[in-house]
Amino acid sequence: MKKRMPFLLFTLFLICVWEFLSWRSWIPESLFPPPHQVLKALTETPHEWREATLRSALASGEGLLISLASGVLLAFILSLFTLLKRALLPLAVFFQTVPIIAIAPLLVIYFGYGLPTVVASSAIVAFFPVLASFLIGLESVEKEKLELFELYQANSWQTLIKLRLPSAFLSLYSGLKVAVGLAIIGTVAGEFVAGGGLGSIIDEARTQQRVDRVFAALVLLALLGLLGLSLLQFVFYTLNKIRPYARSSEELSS
Amino acid sequence: MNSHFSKKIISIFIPMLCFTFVASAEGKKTITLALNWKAEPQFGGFYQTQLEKKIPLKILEGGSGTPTIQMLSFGKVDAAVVSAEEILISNAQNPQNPVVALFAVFQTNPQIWMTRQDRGFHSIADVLNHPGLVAAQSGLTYVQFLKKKYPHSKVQWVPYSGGIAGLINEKNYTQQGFLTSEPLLAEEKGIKVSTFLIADEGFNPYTTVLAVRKSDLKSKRQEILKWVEAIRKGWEDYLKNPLPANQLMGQINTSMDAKTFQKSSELQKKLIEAKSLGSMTEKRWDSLIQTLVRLKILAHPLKAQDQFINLK
Repeated sequence: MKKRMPFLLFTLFLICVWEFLSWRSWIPESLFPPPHQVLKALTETPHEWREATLRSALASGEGLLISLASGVLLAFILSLFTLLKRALLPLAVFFQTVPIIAIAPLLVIYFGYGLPTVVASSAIVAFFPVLASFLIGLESVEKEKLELFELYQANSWQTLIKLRLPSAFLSLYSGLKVAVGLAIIGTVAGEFVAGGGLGSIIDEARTQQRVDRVFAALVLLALLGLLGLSLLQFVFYTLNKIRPYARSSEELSS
Repeated sequence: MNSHFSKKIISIFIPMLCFTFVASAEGKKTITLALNWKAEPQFGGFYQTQLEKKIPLKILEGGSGTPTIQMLSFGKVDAAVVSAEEILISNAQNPQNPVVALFAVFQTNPQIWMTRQDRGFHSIADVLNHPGLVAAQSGLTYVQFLKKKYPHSKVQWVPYSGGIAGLINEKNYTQQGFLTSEPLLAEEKGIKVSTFLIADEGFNPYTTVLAVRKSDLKSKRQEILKWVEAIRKGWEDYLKNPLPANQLMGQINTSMDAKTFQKSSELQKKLIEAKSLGSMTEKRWDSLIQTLVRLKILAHPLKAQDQFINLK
């Protein structure tokens, strides 16, 4: 709790400043709705918000899991076969640079309206950081350790499981931290075109010039992101504690 | 820094600054007009006005999600082309920066739904009473109107993200559109469609409405009167001969070919023509206000006479 104090206090301070500026009409209400108005928008239709947030959370979670599974698997394969890596890695950059908004309408045609498109959109944007970070982790093993494994005539599979994988742990963690935020962005972009969730509410609110509702959705998305990160931190912290080759947990909580 | 050097800087800098001010003062005279969609025949008269050069008009295209009405109310542009509902919602939610309608291009609202002809539907009621997908921009007023009118519809509502891709790929698909554009695109792709006017369902607000800030109307009414006159002339000429403006728009919006521009401008004629082009009535504004209050889009009724003015 003590560690969270600065964050909570600063957020509270920002909210107060915002409310004050708006109260003095220094910033226009209809462009930057004051916090109390955003809160009011949230309490007007709590049921709708709850349902939409759950849908977006579910889609982001699924998207993240798919990107985690596929990213890790591909990184494994690529780290084993150098030739394949040279052939495929440049193509993977496609996933990093593709503006999801541009291909989202196509996803609707591929996957139809609803959850599948949203999950696909989320997974596409979250995929690259997982792949890249895990691959870098697998490959940035200290030279001496590699030589030691060679000395003991370990094969490449053994090297991968017993040396590369453990040392990629932290790298994957930082990649996933980026991926959590991206998965949520991908979800919202998917929801713009496929419907449902907070993205759909944002889309509707924009048409109706309800900026307070847009901000309310942004607040919920931010909370979703925070929740995702905390969950991730918890999982990795726990894993780090129980794994035998643990480095100091200090590194992880930073 | 030695004084000679700083003098030199000042001697270069000040004229530059003056030039910038003069240039921007000159630039101010150009009237910036923001559209809420791409250059299409529904805006033909505005482009014709630009061609006629009676007023220095600079037209900015819009697109899906462009906050055109907000750009107007917050003074980013001098004038905007929006829908009547957008004006009302803006005036209700942003009463500090009111906007006012000056010229309504369409007397009959050209918003339609279209679906494949082989489904054999004859009305919007048919669409809603059969299972299928309806793609409409979420949050649109008429969508809420229809949802209230047909509470037991069997369709699945999905977002609309432009174009006619959905119609091409799905059989049981109905989508929003403008009578003057999407049905023509479908025809071009060889898809036979049935079109139904939303206006026939009893929702017929003015659309493609020219609006300005009320504060500007107060401070330079004579100048704005000139704008409206020039634009009315532009529309009159466009209805007589759409070719020059169509060619200009064809250069800006390359996704529509010359033939479609021509067809579209013919189709929309009967929806635009009126005794006095662009004029509006208090009765129709009031009826829209009542509808929006019933739909709870407006919390309180607004005064119809404050929303528009027929400048003469």
